[in-house]
Amino acid sequence: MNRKILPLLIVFLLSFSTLYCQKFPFGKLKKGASLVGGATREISEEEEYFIGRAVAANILSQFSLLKDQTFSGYLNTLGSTLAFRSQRPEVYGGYHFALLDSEEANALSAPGGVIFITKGLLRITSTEDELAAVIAHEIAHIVAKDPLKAIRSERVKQLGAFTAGEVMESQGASGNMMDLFQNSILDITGTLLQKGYSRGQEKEADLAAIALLRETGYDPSALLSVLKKIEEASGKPKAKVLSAHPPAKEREKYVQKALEGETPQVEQPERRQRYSAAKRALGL
Amino acid sequence: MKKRLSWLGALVLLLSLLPLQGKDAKVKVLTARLLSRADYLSSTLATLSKGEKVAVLETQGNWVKVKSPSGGQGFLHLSALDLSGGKASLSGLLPGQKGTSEKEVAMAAKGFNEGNEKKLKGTKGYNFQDLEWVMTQKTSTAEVSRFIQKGKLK
Repeated sequence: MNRKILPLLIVFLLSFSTLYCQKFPFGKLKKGASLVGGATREISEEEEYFIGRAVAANILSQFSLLKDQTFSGYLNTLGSTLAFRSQRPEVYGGYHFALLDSEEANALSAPGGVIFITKGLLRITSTEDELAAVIAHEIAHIVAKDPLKAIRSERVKQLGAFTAGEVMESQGASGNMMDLFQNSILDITGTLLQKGYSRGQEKEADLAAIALLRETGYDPSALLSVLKKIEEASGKPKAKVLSAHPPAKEREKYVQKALEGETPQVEQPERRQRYSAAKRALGL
Repeated sequence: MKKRLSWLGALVLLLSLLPLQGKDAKVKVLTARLLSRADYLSSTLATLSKGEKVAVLETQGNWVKVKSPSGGQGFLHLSALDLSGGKASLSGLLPGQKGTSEKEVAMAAKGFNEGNEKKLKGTKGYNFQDLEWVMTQKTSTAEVSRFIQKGKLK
């Protein structure tokens, strides 16, 4: 190598590694700026918020909301405790948790941090740790931006074209901004309520939930115990339990493996007391 | 002489990289708490709003030590910040393109936004009234701290 260039190269490499790699979280930057659905347009935090609001409003047009202040206060404090320790504690409009008055056992996360659980799923849980496991799983979907990935990639590309000013004549009705918005909402609600996420996404969310439960001090094995209860409930006639999720039995296998060596915690009296009080407020 | 010049060139290059330590970042969420420590439950020094610029001082895991516009130093979580330094170009965006109204073009420039939501309000299949109730359900940091402490959480 040219001896005149060598000092330049050494100093450049040294300065790059110390300044950039130590001071700047490039890995995280890349993650934060990741494209949704492999398309050419990144959905901003603000857009995610408005998509999420519309998805939540759509869900609320299909299910009644239970507006009990005691339970809502408990649920939101529990959810925030988990969200604060997650990999994405800050979302555009903050996290919000609500209970749907439905006997179908389900949990749903709208983009941007609106998380719903149903009364049917709440009935299946019997401890705060199990309820925390359900919510941690939903928060993991928000962290991974899974609801946004349900938007068909061509729509995200069209949105990119719109914002870049390349509105194509050939797009016709599908090129209309409002159609694009509404169709994106339907893509997401269709996934949340019927189609479901991929098995890979569900597995990632379960494993992330275990990590989050550990991080917050909840019993990670509560995820396994709630999955067993879900499996049991699914076997009952006319049961509608997490119909958009992979079978609980399938999930139990890898969850059990991830929990190897874990000793289940003894239930904390304070957690038991406040969980029971919140459920009692609903008459459960 | 030439050898000295190449070392001098290297020094100049090194100095040119230093300003990255003070790189600007923007708050990308509606409001973000500037915290005294790299911990969500630490005290709030100030509340920053969307779009406010901060200078990045250093990072600690998922936390970024920043200097706020008022000069105060504190921590923000990485998820509250836009470190990309700019959005995609909107050049070429011309109102009145075939099949697109000026309003739509203006809306498209911002992507999905409040304008889309306004059009949905009142239409069948969307219950924004109940959503507003959900959005008012919040909890304070003090409540979360108590909840953690009493429940023997971390």
